[in-house]
Amino acid sequence: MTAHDRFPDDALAIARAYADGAFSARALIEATLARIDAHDAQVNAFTAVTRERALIAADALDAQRARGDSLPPLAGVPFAAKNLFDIEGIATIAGSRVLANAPPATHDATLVARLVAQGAILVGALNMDEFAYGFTTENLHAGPCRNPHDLTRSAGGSSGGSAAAVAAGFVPVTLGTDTNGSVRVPASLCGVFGVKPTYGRLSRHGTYPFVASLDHMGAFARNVDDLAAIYDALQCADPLDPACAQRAFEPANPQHGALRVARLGGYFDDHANDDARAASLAAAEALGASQTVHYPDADAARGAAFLITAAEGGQLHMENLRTRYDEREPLSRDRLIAGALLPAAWIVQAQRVRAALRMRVLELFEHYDVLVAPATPMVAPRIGDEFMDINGERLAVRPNLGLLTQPVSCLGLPVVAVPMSTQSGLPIAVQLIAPPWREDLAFEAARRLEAAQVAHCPPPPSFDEALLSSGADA
Amino acid sequence: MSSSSDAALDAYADAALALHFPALSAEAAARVKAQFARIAQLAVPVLAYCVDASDEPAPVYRP
Repeated sequence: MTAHDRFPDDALAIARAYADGAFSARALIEATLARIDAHDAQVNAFTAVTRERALIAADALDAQRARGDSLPPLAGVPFAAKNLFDIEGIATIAGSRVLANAPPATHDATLVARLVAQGAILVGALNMDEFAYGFTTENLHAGPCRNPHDLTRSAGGSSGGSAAAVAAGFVPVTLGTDTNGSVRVPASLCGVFGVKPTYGRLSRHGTYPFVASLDHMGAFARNVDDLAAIYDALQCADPLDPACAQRAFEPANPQHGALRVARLGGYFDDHANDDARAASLAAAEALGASQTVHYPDADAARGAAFLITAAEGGQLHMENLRTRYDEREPLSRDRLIAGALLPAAWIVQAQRVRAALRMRVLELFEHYDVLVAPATPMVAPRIGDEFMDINGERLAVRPNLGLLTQPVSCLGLPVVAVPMSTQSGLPIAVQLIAPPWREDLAFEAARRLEAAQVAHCPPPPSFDEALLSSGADA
Repeated sequence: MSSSSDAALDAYADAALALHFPALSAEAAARVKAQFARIAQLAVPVLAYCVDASDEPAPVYRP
């Protein structure tokens, strides 16, 4: 059985069918909740299900349709949000026990409210690494989020629940965040599309911060049209977020002619295994990329991202790291404390390097519209794996799954992550990287990969079969 | 890194821990110092990158 036998899997198809009267929103939401109830115990994507709220919203939408009122563009589309987004009436826990007793949020985050205003129906909050510091969603408190395509493997992180919920067919679209790769890494490991827009494009208001100068908002979907529609719906110049750019609406899908595409080699090949390199080469070929180019000082960009992240994140959590150390996630608490100790001179140098590298990358974009690179060094590791072998080098999994994404987000560049198949049978994604504020170019390249059937978003699993093949306990 | 710079990192981390996290257990402090050493390795290409006086930090504040 696939996601909803009686309902389309994709967001825009749901909205169209609902507008045509094919089903009621209540029936769709009840089926959505039933699938989550039946199978999320295996995936562990959700940390809260907003059942009552969702059914009230569905009934209101059905009444609106019955009156003959015009329907908003995402009417009936179920969605969920990483649990660092404020959801009115429940505590924003950001994956942490430290916030478990926080008072319920009094308002929805701006991006949640944007989707709700356009008719989408929130069904829950999603698992993540504690305070978004991690790439595997092995959350000690909530339990690990499992990859729907192999329940013994990681869904990636930190927005692991967001990617897994889409890959599992629980909901067609989700919200996540990406500071160093937290949309692109789980999109890659779970085989779904993801967008991490330009830094400042989407409002952070009503989200629990991690690294203010690097935090990007993003989204996941099963196809490019859905992802573009959600991205467009999220755009607004939000005065409540000081980093949100005051720009006019810039749609994801203007018409384009030829794209100038290059593949990133060097650092991005050196840190990619055969699966990841093959995906990058296949995507580049399909997009007509004839050249392989080098991202300027990728290792310095990655290092700058790491330093800034550790320092800002460590400083943000300094007080509870002092007073509630034992309640903090063992996989990240010591790294955060180390970050809080970094010399100021290192951080200022990292910020200066970041600015200098930005200028050099802009020079690269004078020659190219889109750069192609793998999103992760390999397919999904097994949950609990400590190390991965990449081209003969043994690397710790948890801090290094993002080593191909960090140099990109450090400079705030927009990326669409496009899932592809591999010889191993597990998915992996490529990053389609565009100049600042040109998300449309990345979306166009993604659309071309989808049209050429180079992109591949695996169908949602039949969970009974997935369980048997993985040998995991229910 | 050389053993002398390792020793310098270790001494720095000890001093910074004493300032910021004086109550941290010895076991936790050892783990933190291992993390600090890993971050210091990633800092190497950053600190080696030549910037000149006109390379301002990335904007973190807008009046």
